[in-house]
Amino acid sequence: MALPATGSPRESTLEVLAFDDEFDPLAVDDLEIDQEWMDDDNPYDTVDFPTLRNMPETVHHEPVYSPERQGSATEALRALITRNPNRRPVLLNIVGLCEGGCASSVISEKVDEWQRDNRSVYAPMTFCRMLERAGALTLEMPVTTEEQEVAEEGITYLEIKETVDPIWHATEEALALREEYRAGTQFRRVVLEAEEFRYAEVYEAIMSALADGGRSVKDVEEMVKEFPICQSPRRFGQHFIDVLEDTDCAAWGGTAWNLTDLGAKMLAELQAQKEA
Amino acid sequence: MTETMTAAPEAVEEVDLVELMNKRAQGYGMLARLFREEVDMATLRELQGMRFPQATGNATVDEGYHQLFDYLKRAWDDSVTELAIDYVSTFIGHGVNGYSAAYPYESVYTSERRLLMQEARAEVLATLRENELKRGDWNEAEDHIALELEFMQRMALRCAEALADNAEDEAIAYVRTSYDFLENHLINWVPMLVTDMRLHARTLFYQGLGQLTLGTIQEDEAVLRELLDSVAEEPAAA
Repeated sequence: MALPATGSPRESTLEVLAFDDEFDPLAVDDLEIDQEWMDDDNPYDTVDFPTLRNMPETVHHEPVYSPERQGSATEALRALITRNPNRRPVLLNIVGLCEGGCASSVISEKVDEWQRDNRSVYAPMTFCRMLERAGALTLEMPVTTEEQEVAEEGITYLEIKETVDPIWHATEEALALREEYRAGTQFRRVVLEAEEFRYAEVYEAIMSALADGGRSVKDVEEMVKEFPICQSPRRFGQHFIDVLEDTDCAAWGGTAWNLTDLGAKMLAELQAQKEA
Repeated sequence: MTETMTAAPEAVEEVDLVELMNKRAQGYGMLARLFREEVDMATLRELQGMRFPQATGNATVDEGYHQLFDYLKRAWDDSVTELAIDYVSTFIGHGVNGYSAAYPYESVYTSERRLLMQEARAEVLATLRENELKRGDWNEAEDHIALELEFMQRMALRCAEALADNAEDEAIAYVRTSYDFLENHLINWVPMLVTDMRLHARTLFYQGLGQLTLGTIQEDEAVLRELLDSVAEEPAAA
């Protein structure tokens, strides 16, 4: 490394590291930044780096699930719940809760309850916003909020008398799609009217066991082992649990898998079709 | 030498100093909490239960209170997410140029190249050690505004305790420490932080928080100065 022609190396280093005594942080105006003051060799030392705040509207993303993108509210909601399978029951439950209107605070309380054994990083209102963008919910905001003035020891204070609690309403399309799911269309399509029906006796055994009380994955695995049809090609208990969960027939209850109301209805249908 | 804190100036006359110190501690505690992390539902509900003075005599404080009130009276469950987004947008930002957010660190505003962990942080760390305080398990630099405000809160609480125990010299020492810290640190950089908060905050909540913080430290500086001015030296013979 070449040393400067004048002065000792120690002096030049000190000179480089020395702070400007004249620098006054209060005098710096962030809005008038002198580009020449910046370090040309440092690619990050620039005020031209674009921030999201200043990006044009065209750069902003459109909602992933919206009637505009999917063609209708029904299709947008269908896409939303298909791409978020673990949240499907909660999303459809919210739609059901909002039939005729439901306060945000009630939704928050219910969603927390529904997700007690299947937690999510999404806040209850984030689900509502997702459903709103998909055209499944509409928001009714109160026009005004109560406030009152109180005076104490000569000082006037403002108080919020009543907090805002907006109402969410489910749209017709969303309610219709929810009914479709509640009617067991998915189970019929995936199991009763498909190749999967060859495992009817396995489904019947598992669903009957779940109806008698919660079962762990290990219990289901032991049960499946007993069926010769599951030996080749090999089918494991988890496969049947996945199908039942995806069709809303089984739900995790914190310690075991349980049969849902829809599952009980579908079990009866399965038995009837098997006997026919 | 014995010093006595008297209520000489009109503004602090007949003021219960213990109560004053506890109120200061409460105020600083609330501000520290709001800068430390995003508002959660419990905090939002607590804030909505507060009373907001309409005219405190300090225009900046009043503006801060009005902005906070205007936001909070319309706030609901979804506001927690909105505030979390605005917290990130205000204090963390998206860019790497040093001008993309209102960085809540003193070093950024008092160093030439807007860097973290500079001289200001070393000074605050030294002050904390002198006062037998340490950062704890919160992993931010000591010159974060939340820690500086919390330091003021701790000093106010200690002062209130000393006053309650009739330990006046000790109480005066805490007032001096608070005033020096305010003068050497908070007053020195918070005005610049608040200017940046005005640029980056999108909600009235963080706009109001900035104004309230600025007004509070300006007001507190005046109160502490009056208290220190009122400290009279008693004759040695007495």
